[in-house]
Amino acid sequence: MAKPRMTTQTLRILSVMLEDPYAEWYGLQLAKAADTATGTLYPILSRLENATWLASTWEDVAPSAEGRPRRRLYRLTGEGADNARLAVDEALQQLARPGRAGARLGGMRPRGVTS
Amino acid sequence: MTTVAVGIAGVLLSLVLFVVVSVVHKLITDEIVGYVPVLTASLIRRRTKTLPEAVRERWEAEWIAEAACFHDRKLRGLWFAAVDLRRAARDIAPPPTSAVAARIVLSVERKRLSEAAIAEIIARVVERTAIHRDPWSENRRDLADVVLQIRDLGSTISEFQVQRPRASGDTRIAVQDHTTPGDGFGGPGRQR
Repeated sequence: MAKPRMTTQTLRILSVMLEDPYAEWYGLQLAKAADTATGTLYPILSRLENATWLASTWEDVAPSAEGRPRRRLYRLTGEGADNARLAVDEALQQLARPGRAGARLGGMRPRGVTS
Repeated sequence: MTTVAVGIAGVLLSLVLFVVVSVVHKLITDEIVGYVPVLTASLIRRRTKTLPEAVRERWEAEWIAEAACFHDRKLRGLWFAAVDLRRAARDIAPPPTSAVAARIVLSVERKRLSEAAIAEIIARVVERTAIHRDPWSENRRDLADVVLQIRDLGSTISEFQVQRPRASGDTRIAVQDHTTPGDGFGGPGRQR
């Protein structure tokens, strides 16, 4: 499977998900955590899912009991977690380098990374 | 005495008007706000109409569930459906096949191929584009990929170039004259 295009937003989303690789997220929750616009989020999720970095399932709740529709939940696959770590590490290395690549990725700060 | 009576009447009338306006305003506001979720759902359905059928239902259900997160901020939910999802749907959805096909017809006609050849080319390009045009892929690269896809169209036509020139978004197929006369594809110099 081809590697999905790595944009700053993609890296942000992946770094948020990597904080707990087993966690399941729904779209808006992920958008808020990654500080990403929802209009950008869903195409990224679909690309990552297509690349099998993410898997998604419907929430296992009864809509009548919850009073809301079931949400689609996304989680990292094993392969996706490994690839995401590599991609984020690679981006961080670029960030550390002076020059254009570093400047381009300047807005990306994976959570938990302070420097 | 009369002045006092008029004053009291004015105050009472003002109070009545205030109450009426408050009640009517609330009724109208509630009525409008009550329609917002309906409008939001309708917008979401409209957004998903541009998506491939295979994934349409899934995204519709997902986005309706996401919009429900805005239950206490209904107008934000409406904005989510109207603006945010417009962009999301556009990025997920490929361009309509019919539009691609129409542009291809115009370009190919200039090359004076036979009608059958044009039909064949269009059918194959569209078929392959549609196959390749995975809704999950990066849509902007689809046309560039067609170049690779159609090189093996047939033994008689050895090369096409599909380009998206300039900023017009126009799609152009340049059919190079590698066709053979009598092969059903028209052949070089053959007039329609």
